[in-house]
Amino acid sequence: MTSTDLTPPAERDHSTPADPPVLLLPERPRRMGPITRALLLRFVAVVALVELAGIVLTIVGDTTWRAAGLSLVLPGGGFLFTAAPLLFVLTWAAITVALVLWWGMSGHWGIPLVWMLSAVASAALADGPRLFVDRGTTWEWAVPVVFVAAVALVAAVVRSFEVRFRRKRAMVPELNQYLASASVPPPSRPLREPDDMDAELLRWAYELTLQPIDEFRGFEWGEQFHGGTVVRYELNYLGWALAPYAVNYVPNAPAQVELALRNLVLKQTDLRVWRYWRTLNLVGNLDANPDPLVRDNIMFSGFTGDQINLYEAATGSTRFDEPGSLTFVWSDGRTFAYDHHSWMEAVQRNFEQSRLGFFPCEPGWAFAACNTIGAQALYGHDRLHGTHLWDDIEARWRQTLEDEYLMPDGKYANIRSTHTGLSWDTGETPGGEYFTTGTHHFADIAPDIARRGRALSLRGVPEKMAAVAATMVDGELPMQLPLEWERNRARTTAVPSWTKLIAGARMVGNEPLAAAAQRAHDRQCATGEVWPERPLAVGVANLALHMLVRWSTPIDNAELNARGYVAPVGPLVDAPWPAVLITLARSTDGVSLQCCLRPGATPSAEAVDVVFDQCHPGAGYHLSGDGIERLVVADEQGHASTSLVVDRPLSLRLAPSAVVDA
Amino acid sequence: MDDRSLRARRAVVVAVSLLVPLVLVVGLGHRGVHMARNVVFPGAGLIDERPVVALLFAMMAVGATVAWVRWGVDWSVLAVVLLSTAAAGALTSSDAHAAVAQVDRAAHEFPLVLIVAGAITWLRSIGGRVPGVRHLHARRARSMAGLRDIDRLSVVDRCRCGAIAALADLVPGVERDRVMASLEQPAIATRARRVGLVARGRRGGDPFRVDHAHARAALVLAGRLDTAQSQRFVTDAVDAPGGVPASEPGWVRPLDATLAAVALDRLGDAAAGRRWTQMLRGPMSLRRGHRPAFWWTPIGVSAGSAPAWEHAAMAGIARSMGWIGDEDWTALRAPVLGAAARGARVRDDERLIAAGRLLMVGIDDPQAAGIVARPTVQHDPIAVALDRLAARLSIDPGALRSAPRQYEGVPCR
Repeated sequence: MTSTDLTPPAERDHSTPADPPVLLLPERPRRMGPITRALLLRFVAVVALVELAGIVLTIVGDTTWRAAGLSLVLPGGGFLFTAAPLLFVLTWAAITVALVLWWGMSGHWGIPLVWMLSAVASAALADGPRLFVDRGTTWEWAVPVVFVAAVALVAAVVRSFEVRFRRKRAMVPELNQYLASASVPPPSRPLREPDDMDAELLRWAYELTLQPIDEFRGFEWGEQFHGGTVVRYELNYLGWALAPYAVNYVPNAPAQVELALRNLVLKQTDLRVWRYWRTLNLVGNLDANPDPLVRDNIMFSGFTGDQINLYEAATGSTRFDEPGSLTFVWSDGRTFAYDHHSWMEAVQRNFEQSRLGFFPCEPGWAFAACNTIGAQALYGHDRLHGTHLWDDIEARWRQTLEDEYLMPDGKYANIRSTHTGLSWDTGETPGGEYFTTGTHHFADIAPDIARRGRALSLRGVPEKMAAVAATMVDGELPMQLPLEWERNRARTTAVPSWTKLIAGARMVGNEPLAAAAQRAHDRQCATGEVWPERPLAVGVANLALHMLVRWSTPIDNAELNARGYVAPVGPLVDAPWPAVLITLARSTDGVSLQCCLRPGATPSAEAVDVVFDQCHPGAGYHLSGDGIERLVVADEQGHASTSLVVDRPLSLRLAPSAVVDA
Repeated sequence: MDDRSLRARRAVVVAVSLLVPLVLVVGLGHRGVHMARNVVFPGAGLIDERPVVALLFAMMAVGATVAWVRWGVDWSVLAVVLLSTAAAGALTSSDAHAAVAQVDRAAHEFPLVLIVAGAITWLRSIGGRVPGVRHLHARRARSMAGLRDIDRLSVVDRCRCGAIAALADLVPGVERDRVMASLEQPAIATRARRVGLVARGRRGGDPFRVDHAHARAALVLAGRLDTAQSQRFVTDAVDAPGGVPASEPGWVRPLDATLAAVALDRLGDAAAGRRWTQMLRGPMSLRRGHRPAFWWTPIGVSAGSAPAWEHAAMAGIARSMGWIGDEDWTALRAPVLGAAARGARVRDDERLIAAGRLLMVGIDDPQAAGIVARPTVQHDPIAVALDRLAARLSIDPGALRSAPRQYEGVPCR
């Protein structure tokens, strides 16, 4: 870690050429990409065949065959014909459940199964007894109603798609004009000093991560498929949050944070975290293999792959490069041994084998966000290890992003079915689409697309932020944000709204607003509670995301992913956890060390050994600050130590005697 | 007891089991058919005519089997069979429906009782896997605080825990004090006295004079058995069919027997290890990845599969004594890794993890070592004791073999 690494970008020497012009949107966008079209045509052909069969049976068949045919035309339609409206309603209730399971559990066979069963059942019951009407009764009026309903259903879907497409296409000239002339303000990236709230957040994060690997106190457990209580995401988010803390705040105190980051990765291999995959694989792929990396599951392999890269880039530790260092063990003792390299090779193999170019999270569902994070993971691995995993797939990945997922207005579809080519709003993001995605917003893997996405997403935002900033009084935001439900519906909280405001202010370079928003957030959301309670009134996932935004300055994870590991210069410091919490350890000049030590959860008057390393061998150092003043002499290995009573926050400076004298 | 005697006994049992039903059917006609059915399973011969009595005998059979398996009350099974057979003879008529009666001539009571015993065990294990029940088991297991809660174990498990903890050579402190205090509680002798009385009619005297391998091993290893009792322990072992005392009358269980063999070795019975090794290579040998759950001494039959944690614990101790090789690790590797993956929430998993650590001391399997090292063993007292023993052996693999022999003067035959 050199001093220039922590210099805010705005203050750096910009000797590189100016940024190229922002990428414009296609002027004649296609309705869908070639692969999506092929998938959709296949889907339409299958549905058309079923419809055709239904029509033929309805026209030429007797009562039994007509009932079956009408159920093929419209699921359960035959029940209307055979005067069994209750079964018609039940069929659609089942279709709804199957639809939810298709999305939620990758039960692709659910809707076809219900559809076909409705045909079989309506044929079987055609001559059967009826409720309230005589046996053998048929309702002839149902025939035209079913046909009209089927046509209306198809027309509604097509119209919805077409209207949306045309509305977005009409925006292209205006958006391109904006992009061609847009002046997007640079983000603010201050070098922050950790405050009391930072310390409490860090302490909580360490308590959570430094407990034994197999213990998960403090995590929120619930369903592990893709709801708001998924522990793998909590681990990802915490890893993503602590990595920038490691490089921005404690680059010269790697011991505590390295262990915390390492444990977060190791916890991902706990069976409770990843056993959901076998269920999804069985339901969605009809494959009982529990190996979480070999097929699909990019929401695990891509996310955690990215987390491993950031761990390595932040700490320099190569322990996960060792063969078998990331071994999954199934409940029957089967092992699936991976390491950082083979993990990434599995991700790349999945990309290569995917017809769409993006590969699924849950079987059959390929998300743009997850595939972007998967791409970040390959890119980061290449940067750390000099491999070409990302290079090999980059062109195809971009093609998929731009051809299959890009909408006319510059947004990307959140999701696409790899079986049918369909896409819809899953409710996870506003409108089911976004201008940028992944955790790095394309900044590392596709900077040109990132610039366009940033410009589009910040359209009108500086003005909005300025309006909020205008409400500041004496540098403070005298306001509270409304509470909103968390995704897991466990509680209401204002933290995500504040996090968005802080991030938005930073994105448009309004640091005074960002800082005021952060203080206002702390005032509204701090609980004052300590481990195992949370310091903020929010769930684990959103708390971690708040820490990610809070600590991602001046270096964010996109920059860290591109930069890779840079060893810290200047003295290093370490102290025993949990007696001492190191919240700051930086060397901005490469020779001295600024550090902040805080007492453990229960402050003690007992002295602890504070160890310094990487000092000049044999040199004397002055340790000073907060009433401490003493000389520390490094031995021949550049190692020094001193005993300190850390019963209050200590802001200390370790500097060579010569520097102090000067 | 030599192999020939045991073979002869087994032949007699098989012959009697086959002949009795045959004699009953041939000699007593329809009434004999009903009686023969009761030999096959108590109550079966009365199901047609006296269903309530049949149910009563069936329940008695299950109870007798449990008493036999848990406390060695083998006569209770025989008594129920005889009683039900006699009842069938007295309560059934000799009408014509005998013509359609069939007899399963190949069956006899011993295997059927084993099936009942197996079914009970199976039902218990299935019950333990039912989500709600499993959750309750896990919750109870998590509420234990390691060796400090040794008194919450059953007497048998308390003895096993004490013996293993003694081998682990705990540092002086609260845990060691609790273990020692637990072994001094009268409940251990009380159980031995009651089992001796009910199973074998032993009245008065030293309750530990025969059998009770787990208790005597624990007391020897903890230095709580006096010289006379130790001498009787050695004498009992030498006279015992398997070369080690039984746990309960008639039942030699592998973990108890292994602990007893170590205790005997400590007492200076240099042949104890050799005798137990013969058993481990013979009737208690590894078959299809399992070691038998028991060896029944009256006819020298081994059957069942030892629970994985007992198998691993037994094998770990026996291996550290040099009595067996690495073959048990090969068989148990997958179950141990599976337990490590599932975590230490359930008692048996926690025990298996700790026993796995013990078993793999000195085995070059870094992948497994990393996996097995991850779970935190902290709740179940036996698991914690096994974990401590594993930790001790990982520092000094020869610690058990090189331990000083106590009571060197104990006479050995």
